[in-house]
Amino acid sequence: MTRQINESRTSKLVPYGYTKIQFLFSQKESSTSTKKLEINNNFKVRYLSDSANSLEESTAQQNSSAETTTTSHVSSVKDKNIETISSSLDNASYNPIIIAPNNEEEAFQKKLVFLMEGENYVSGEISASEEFVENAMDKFGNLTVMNWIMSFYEQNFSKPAVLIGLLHMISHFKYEAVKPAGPIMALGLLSHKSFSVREFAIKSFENWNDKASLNYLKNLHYENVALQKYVNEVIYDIEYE
Amino acid sequence: MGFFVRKIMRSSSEKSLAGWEKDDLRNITSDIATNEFRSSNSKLSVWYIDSLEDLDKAALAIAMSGQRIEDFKLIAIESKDIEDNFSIDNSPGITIVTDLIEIHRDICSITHCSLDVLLSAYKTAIDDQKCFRYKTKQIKDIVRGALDNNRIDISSANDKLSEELSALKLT
Repeated sequence: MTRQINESRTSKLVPYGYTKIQFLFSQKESSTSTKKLEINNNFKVRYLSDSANSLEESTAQQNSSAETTTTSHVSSVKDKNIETISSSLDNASYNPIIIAPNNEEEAFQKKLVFLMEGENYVSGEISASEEFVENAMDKFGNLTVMNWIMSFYEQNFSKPAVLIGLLHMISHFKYEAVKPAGPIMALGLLSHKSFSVREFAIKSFENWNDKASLNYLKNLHYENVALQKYVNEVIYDIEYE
Repeated sequence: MGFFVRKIMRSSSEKSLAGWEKDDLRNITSDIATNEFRSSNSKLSVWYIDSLEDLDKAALAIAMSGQRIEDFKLIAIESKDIEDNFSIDNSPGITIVTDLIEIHRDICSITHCSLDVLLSAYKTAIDDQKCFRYKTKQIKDIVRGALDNNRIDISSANDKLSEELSALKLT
């Protein structure tokens, strides 16, 4: 019988960020042990089962359905027996926490996190997660979907990579379609401790390009010269577009 | 002096490279290579310009190769740094600006080892302040000019871009 061994490699080689690669090995392959040794000898290895357990423990305290969600997510990956490689979007790991109170929202959040994990957000290109959210909005309505996203956002407020992915997504919808939740989320992130998140929150207002956001932007003050310059440029562009 | 121009995929790449010692690039995060040098058939797509005065040309070509108009950062690498180490193909580029298709080049025969050369060229360009941000408004102005001169084949654009271009044409 095949027993799955889940391994996760986390390399913190540099101060600017790190990459996480998850391998799912099967013991029936004779070369697995050698591969495992090679990886253990060259990188810091963190066992996914450990982190999954701790994740389950922490979420179980908050909501009993959360444990089921997290466990089923991990199980579904195990079942596929695939090699998953995910690169960080920013200077943070990509382990969104999913706590969903109903089936539709749960399914939405699970699919969203699955898409976001593999996403490479590139300027000028439409992401798969954005298309997914757009379809969900058509099906369930903007307000419902934005409420689900807001809940996802609250749960992942300490994860810059997730937040940047969310901002990238919602800032490409029309301001009218995502308000009030979209701008409120961006507003909340204008003071996030991550520089990249703050920068992307400003970019969200730049993308929306809506005069309604001038009131927020004009009342911002950053000690950081580059960020304040960016805000001023965005204000100018929105005012004179 | 000519330049090869490429879009920067992650702003964090520029920040990481700017703060890293050139003689220690071997130890920089692998995220830069995996994000910035996504080669296909060992080739990397770039746009050639004769001088930095022509940077808007490359910006226009790149903007019109995407799915929507959005701000981006470009990096301009001195072509000599690349030509000394790689063969270059004059392959047609994917852009809907018809007269810019021919400024596209492919950097060929990229290997795992030669990624070092590309990384080093990126580092040099960043140190020489050859990263340029194009804001959405700036790109729209450039695109508007190209539309006025009938240089853009709107019929080849995807739905979203086509919609944006049609709206721009009216303004």
